[in-house]
Formats: sequence, C-alpha cells, structure tokens
Amino acid sequence: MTENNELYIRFPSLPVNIAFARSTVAAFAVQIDSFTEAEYNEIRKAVSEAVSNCVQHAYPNAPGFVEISVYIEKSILKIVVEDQGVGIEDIDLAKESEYTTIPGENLGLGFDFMAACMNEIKIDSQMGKGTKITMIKIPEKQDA
Amino acid sequence: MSVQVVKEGTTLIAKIAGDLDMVTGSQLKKEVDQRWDEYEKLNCLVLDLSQVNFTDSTGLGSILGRYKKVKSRDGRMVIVGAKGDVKDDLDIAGILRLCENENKEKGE
Repeated sequence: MTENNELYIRFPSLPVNIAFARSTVAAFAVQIDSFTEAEYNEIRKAVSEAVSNCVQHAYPNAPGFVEISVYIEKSILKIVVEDQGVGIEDIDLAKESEYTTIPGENLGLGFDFMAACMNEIKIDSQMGKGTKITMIKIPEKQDA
Repeated sequence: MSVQVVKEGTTLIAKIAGDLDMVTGSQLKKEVDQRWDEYEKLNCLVLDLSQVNFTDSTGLGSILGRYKKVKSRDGRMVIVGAKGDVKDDLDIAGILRLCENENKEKGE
C-alpha cells in the first residue's frame, strides 16, 4: 500500500504551463505503483484537459492562477484543479458532449475525455467566483 | 514539441513531434494556415503523426481545424503514422473517418 502523500502547485493560466502540469501530476502518481502505463497516460490526459479548460475559459482578460492539489490516500489518487475565474454558467450544458463556448477549433470533448480517463469527476462552479474539478482515479490492479 | 512544415509541389507536409496539445496545436495552425493561404495551388495536407505519443482534445481540435481549412478549398488531408492512443483518440473524435488514413487496410 502506498504511503499517504500530497502535492500542491500553483501557476499562471498560461498555455505553456499545461504540459508541465500534466507531467508533474503524472510523475507524482508514479508512487502508486499499481497504476499501469496506460493509466499514467490517462492521468496526463485528464489533467491536460482540466488545465486547458482553465487556460481557455477561466480568465478572459488576463492570466490568473490555477491551483492543483493532488492527494494519495490508500493508493487512490485524487486530483483537484481549481481556479478563481469566471465560472461555468450551466454545468450540465458544459458537460454535454461537443458543447463549447468557443466554436471553431474546440471540439467540446474536454469533460468527456476527463470522464473517460478517471473513475469519478465532479464539477463545482460559481459564476464570478471560480471552478473546481475533482477527479478520482483508482488503479485497476489493487495491491493485495 | 515541434512542428515542421515542408512544401512539395501541391502538397504540404506537416510533421509533428512530441505532445499535441494547445501549444503545439496553435503552432500547427499558424504554420499550416499561413502557407495554405499563401500558396493557392496547394491541394493536399499530409499530417505526419508518427512522432506524436500524446494528444488531448485541444490537440485533436487543431487537427480538425486544419481539415476544415483544407476542405474549404476542396483539398484533401491525409494522416500518416498515427499509432496507439493517438490513433484511438482520432477515431473517437471522428477524425479518422473524415480524412484519408494511410494506416487503413487496403480495400477498406
């Protein structure tokens, strides 16, 4: 069983920070050694989606801060991606496949990909206050 | 992460290396669109994804965006070298169905 652990990072919502964020969380998750290679890739992808959402939507006027907290407890990974940005007006609509507020090159599949990569995702948001995405990943292969 | 674009006759070849995310995706858009607009005789875009091991939905969006760009002048887009998760994601996003895919088996 992996020892309990946690991580907190905070960075501006700049596109260049997306790669760093996904790699950092995946690197931290390595200590849960029952995750497979494919599961680490899923972690990278889910974080990339969540942070990309912050970069594209949270702060329309100037970059703001993105905070990521990662918790390891009983070999379960919990990732929280938070911003203090504009918030999501209609969460159910936002979760709908292919819905996007920036049509053109946006597929609107961010939440779908997050949900496909994680066991659970939860979206909390308040207009004008910010958005918090909580994701849980449980290794398929549990240690004895 | 890098995007290299080469023109060969009426074909534009874009080779992407590394992760295809928002940053690489906008590099791809910039490099391809500028040349596509400049050289009106271009009628085919080849996307070489053989060195891409990761993509997220923004990366996929930039691929779809290039498809739309190419289609707006009746051109064609060919995807080469897509493998593993990247190929699966292109499939899920419906992009493989739209483009010619050099990984397809003959007769499909």
